[in-house]
Amino acid sequence: MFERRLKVVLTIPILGGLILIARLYRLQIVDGAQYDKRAEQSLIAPKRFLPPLRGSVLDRHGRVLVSDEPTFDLSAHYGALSEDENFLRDYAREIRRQSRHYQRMSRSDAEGEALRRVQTLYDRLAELTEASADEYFARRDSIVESVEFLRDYIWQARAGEGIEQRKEDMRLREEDRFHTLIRDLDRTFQSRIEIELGDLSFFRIMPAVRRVWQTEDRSLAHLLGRIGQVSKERLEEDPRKTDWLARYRAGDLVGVSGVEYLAEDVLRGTRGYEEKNLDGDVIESVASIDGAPVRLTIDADLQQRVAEILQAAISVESGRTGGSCVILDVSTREVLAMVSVPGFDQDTFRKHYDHLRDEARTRPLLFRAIAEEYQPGSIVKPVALLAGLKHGVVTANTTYDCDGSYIDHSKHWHCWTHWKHRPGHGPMAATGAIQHSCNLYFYDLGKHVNARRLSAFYDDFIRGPGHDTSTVVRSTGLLEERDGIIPTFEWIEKYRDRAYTWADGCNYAIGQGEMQITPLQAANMYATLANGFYRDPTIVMGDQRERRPKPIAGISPAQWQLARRGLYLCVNEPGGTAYEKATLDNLVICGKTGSAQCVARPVKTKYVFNVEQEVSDESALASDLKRTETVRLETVAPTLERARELLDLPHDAKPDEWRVVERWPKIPEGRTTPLPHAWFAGYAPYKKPRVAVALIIEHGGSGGQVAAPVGRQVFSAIMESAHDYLGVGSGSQQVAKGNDAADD
Amino acid sequence: MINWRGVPLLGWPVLLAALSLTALGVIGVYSAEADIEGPPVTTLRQLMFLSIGISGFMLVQLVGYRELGRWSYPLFVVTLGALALLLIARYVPMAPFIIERRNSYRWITIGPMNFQVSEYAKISFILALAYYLRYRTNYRSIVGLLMPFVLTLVPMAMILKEPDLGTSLLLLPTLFVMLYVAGARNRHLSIILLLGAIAVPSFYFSPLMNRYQRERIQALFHQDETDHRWRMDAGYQLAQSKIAIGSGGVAGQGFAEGAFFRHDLLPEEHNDFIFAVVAHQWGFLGAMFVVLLYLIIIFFGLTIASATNDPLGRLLAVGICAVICAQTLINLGMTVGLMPITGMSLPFVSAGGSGLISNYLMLGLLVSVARRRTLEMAPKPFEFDEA
Repeated sequence: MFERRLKVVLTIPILGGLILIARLYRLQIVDGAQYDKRAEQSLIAPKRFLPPLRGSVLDRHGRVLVSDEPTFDLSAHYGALSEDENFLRDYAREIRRQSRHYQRMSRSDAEGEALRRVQTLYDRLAELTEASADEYFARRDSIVESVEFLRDYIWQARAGEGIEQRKEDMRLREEDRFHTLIRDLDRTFQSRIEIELGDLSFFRIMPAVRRVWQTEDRSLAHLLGRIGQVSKERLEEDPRKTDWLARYRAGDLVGVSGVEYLAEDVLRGTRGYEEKNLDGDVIESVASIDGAPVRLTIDADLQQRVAEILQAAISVESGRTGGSCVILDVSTREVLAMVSVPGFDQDTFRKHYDHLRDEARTRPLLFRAIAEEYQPGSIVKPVALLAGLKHGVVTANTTYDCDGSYIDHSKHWHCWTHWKHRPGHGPMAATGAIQHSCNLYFYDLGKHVNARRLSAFYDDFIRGPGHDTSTVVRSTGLLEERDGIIPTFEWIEKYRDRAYTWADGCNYAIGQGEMQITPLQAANMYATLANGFYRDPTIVMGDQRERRPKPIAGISPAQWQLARRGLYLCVNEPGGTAYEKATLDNLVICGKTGSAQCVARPVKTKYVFNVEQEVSDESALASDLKRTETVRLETVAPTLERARELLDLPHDAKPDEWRVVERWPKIPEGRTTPLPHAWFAGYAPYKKPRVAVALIIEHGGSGGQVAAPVGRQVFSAIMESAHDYLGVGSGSQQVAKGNDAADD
Repeated sequence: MINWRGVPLLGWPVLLAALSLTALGVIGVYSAEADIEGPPVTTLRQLMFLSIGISGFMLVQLVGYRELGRWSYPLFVVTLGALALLLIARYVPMAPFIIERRNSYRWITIGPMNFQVSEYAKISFILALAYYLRYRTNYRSIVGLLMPFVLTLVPMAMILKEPDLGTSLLLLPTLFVMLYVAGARNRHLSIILLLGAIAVPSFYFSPLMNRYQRERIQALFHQDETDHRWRMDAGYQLAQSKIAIGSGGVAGQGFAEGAFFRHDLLPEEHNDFIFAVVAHQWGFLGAMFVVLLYLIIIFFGLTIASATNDPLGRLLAVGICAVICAQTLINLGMTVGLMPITGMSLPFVSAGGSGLISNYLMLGLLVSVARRRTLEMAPKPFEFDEA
């Protein structure tokens, strides 16, 4: 019986052996080649992308304003940062394997050595770099915290799906990755760290790139713009979505504002990749293609000079909250300078962001040149004159007798002389009305042209004939650009539930009422006045967009000449509002001043939020009942964002009430409104216009007193520039003046 | 010292097969280490364990299995005591003697030596069971089967609790085979088998089995290399093991092709998955050779059982063959993807001290049985009527 049963038992290993051999036959002989291929594949490390350098941004003469510079990041393995048990065990094994010195060490001693190395990393880094160990600890803690947060989140999500799993058993991809400890490592530290800590395998110095602003000029900050992490929408709208190397990937940095956004398609490059086997030999590699540079039409030197002039001008009084100046080439409409003051420092932007945002008086983040809209005031008068001439309301010789008041004893309807307690201008014809900036002439002109025809003319003149009315007209393409308010019939119908009155025509003719334009529009308006064609301005050299000059219809050369003559007189003849203020000896400037009425902006507001909050009842009976209660939260803050932060509310919380607590600037004694914005706009030279300028000093007061002298400084700066933007040649300035004068 | 002339021929093939297996294992370990600067630490350690194992083998020859059999109950009690200590260590810290490793308590450390108690428990279990069953006939009644089951289930439960699922799984088949050859009634054994057939699926669904164990079983039935999630998660070890084995082809990648292992692409390559290394290096021919070597050990082991008429010797030989056979089948089965992955080393081949030493101790007992001259006059034990 025993023998027989032994034989039965013996069948088990024989049977098992046969099954195993069958299985091995299948794996090694039938599928052997396939597994062989897989084994080879698994010896290849995952592809590593090689990031391209983003294109540089240059000024019109090739000076580098922003560029990508290669740099290095120091990153450490998550296991080392979190001092994970498994990681330490593996690392201990590696230590023993690597060096003769450690291989006699016991396993627990090697693990102790591993832990010691991981823990002393921060102190050693602190010794080698400028940062303190505490900063490294803080950085480590924030990395570990964010990964743990992710783990919590995923665990909860899985628990929600009914997947039971211990939280500790969950392995996240982040746990096998290197996380950045120091960005943009200084080159001297880099070599030091490599020498001192090169034997530690759990951290790496990895190549990276950094966007470097090569200019100190803070007024360029708005224009150059910023880069930031690519958003979900941008990923979806990516025009190169189908190219697996070129397409955006989560975490990519893309232009989010200014030129960085505008020229994104040129600046972005195409990544390359590298494939290595596990022994480190390169198997395949494709080089990255760096982004192309973008050359702006801006002259960085001129821009900086103008920024200094404006900065000085607004520093005169604390009420002058800011200013802007745009310089255009008249024929090409290239923007030579586009200044907004105050600017900000790109390098410390992130650090100071809250402060910059909450600085409600001067609003340094505001790109005033294109993103702020102001009443044009008197600078629009030459355009109004052209409208009057076009519609036959006035001719060159039509006069209006200015006695100082359009409607006697009224509150508003007076010429500006009235407020200075001077008599009226007397009989005014077209050129004189511009020269003296006579309100009554234009009141009458506006009344007869009428608001509808006047604003339609403005619309063509300022935004371009036949522009697309369905969207914002972004003549430069910059994301921040706004196209002002021109109270056309459609606009009034849409936004103001009323009909035009005769008074609208009067107001629009002197650039008041609803009408608002940006400094860029003002400069372009004067460029159009100078050569008679509307053209979209551009800030990029060799702009490929369709930008044909469009004639302003229905105006004869003689009529153009009337307006230009008025602008000439305004600067160059006694009685002109800019005479002596904006007059240069060696350049004939045509221009116009303006003083735009305005209100003070709120700088402190009391915000009230009614918030539903969950309140758990204390009483034992209703302990599981949760009540929601409306709580009234209020705070005083310069911005709504700040108020939300102060009250710890979500970023989309809407206030239920708000009341302005403080406005800026202060209203001077004897006035009911703060000082008006001071405008000056013009072009030069008179006969062969080359450059148009518009500038505004917020709450500067009188355009003639404040803005015109700044305008003169700006034209001087253009003349002093190393480049001959005025077409007069450095030695022929006198000749230019002489030529122009002789013509009159 | 040892009367070599006394060793009957049957012991030699068993010993030679075991040594060949160990040699293959040492070569596998060395190949992954050969490129690394400095002496091959793991290989040298393995050779050291082998020499300890051979010494143990000799010692068992010197003492003889009959003398050891007399000590089987005390040894069993000592084993249970050691297992109990491991259980207590979970609640009462016993560092530095017992420390937690990978969430389990399996080792007792005394000085430089680490003892994996469950490996030695296998021997003492076989000894005790064989000693208990040697002259009895009452296990031919169903009540008489109670005691052998107690002897099995107590250490089994304790090992399961360490936790060491793999080793604890070995005890039941060993008991079953020993009872079978000792003459337990087919009827009783069938009932037990049936109960087992019911118990296994219900165990699968009971809370006793934890999630990762269940996942491993699911991973076995879901062998789909194109399923990335399976590939990177539950199925990772198995998938890598299959790649290592499959890429061995007919003749193997050879000794020098260690890149696959040098980069740690196969977890536990020196321990539980050493067969994948051997099959990768020596191919289908080498793998068949390994299977053949185990068949030699088991065949000659059972022949030894058949050749002796000492009841203790017979049961010992069968028990040792059963444990080696079960361990080998489970390990090879999981390595090639026929069984769920449980922590189980491959006898004589896997790196690791306690396993190798205990394997050679068992081999020593087997050879010791073979060396004992049979008394031709004695009646053959365990010959019952089938009825």
